[in-house]
Amino acid sequence: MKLKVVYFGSSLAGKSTNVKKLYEILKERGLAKGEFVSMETDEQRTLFVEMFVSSLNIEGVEMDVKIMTTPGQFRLHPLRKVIVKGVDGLVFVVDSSVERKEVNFLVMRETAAVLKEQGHDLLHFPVVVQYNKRDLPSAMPIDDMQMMFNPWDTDYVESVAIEGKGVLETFVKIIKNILVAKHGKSSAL
Amino acid sequence: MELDLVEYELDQDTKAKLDEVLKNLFSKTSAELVILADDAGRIISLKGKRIDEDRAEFIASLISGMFGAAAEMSKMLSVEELDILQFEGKKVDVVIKAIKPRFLIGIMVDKGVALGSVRLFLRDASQELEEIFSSVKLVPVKTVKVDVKSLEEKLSKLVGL
Repeated sequence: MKLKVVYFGSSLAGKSTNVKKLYEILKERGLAKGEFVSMETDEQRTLFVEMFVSSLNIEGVEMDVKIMTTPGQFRLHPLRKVIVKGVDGLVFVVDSSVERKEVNFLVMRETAAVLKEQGHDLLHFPVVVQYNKRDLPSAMPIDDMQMMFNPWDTDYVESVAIEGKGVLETFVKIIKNILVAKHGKSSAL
Repeated sequence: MELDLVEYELDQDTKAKLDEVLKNLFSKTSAELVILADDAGRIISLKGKRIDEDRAEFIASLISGMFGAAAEMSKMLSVEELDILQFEGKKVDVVIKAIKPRFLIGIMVDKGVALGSVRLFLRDASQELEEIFSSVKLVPVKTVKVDVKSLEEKLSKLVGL
């Protein structure tokens, strides 16, 4: 089984940090395959994509999970459309600082439009919301963020990705949500 | 609630047919690498001289990314739908072609190989692949029942949380 997970969110929200930290942790535990591939500009901003493959085995079912980021900068919108193609689940990385409130919202709206173009409805798609940078003094209260950035009422994780906090929890939740969305049988108990 | 984790695969006959087309293309063009993937960059089949599977996964993603980016540019410039993308390096040339309904084939050849003939063989191969895909069947290879409540626990344990 091959799954594609894309981390999206505003510029500098911490998508790349999440994916790099996740790679380091999974690599150390023997759950990442091959290398970490990154295409960055000279200023260490994501130009196209960062990605790696994680290999998991659930009850004897082999899963290769390709984890990718989208570039956050608005000028790179066409590339975001390309990366989101064929995605199985999304992680919405939200910058907790109050100053980034508007831009977080704009990115959510833009992503919904990209998915719609590809025949999906963001509100009925496996998503996990990650509230990153919880250590900032200007971090918004979780209740306010839930109202604004979690219209799915889906799982959310509080994180400080740069320290690795919440990174693994986010990954576990998105895999769970994808599997439930793809293979859930609501009739069974 | 309980999940049926079903792992689907192409049936053996289809797989063999796809492999055969790739094998022929690989030998006729003396390619370094031939990858067949879906448009999201998931590998379906590959033939290569010096390539490991992990690296091929990334190359497949980049093939899908590059083709997708070029297709976006075509749309913005209002030119016709992109069917083939080609770029030339110092030592190798790369050609990527769309295969209906939603697949891509990428081929990497040494500079010494004539690109005209590569494109010709690629066109023939793509027609064969499209025929195969038009009658494709997916077969479930494994079904596992997992309780949703314990799924998160199992995943957490697996990653060492």
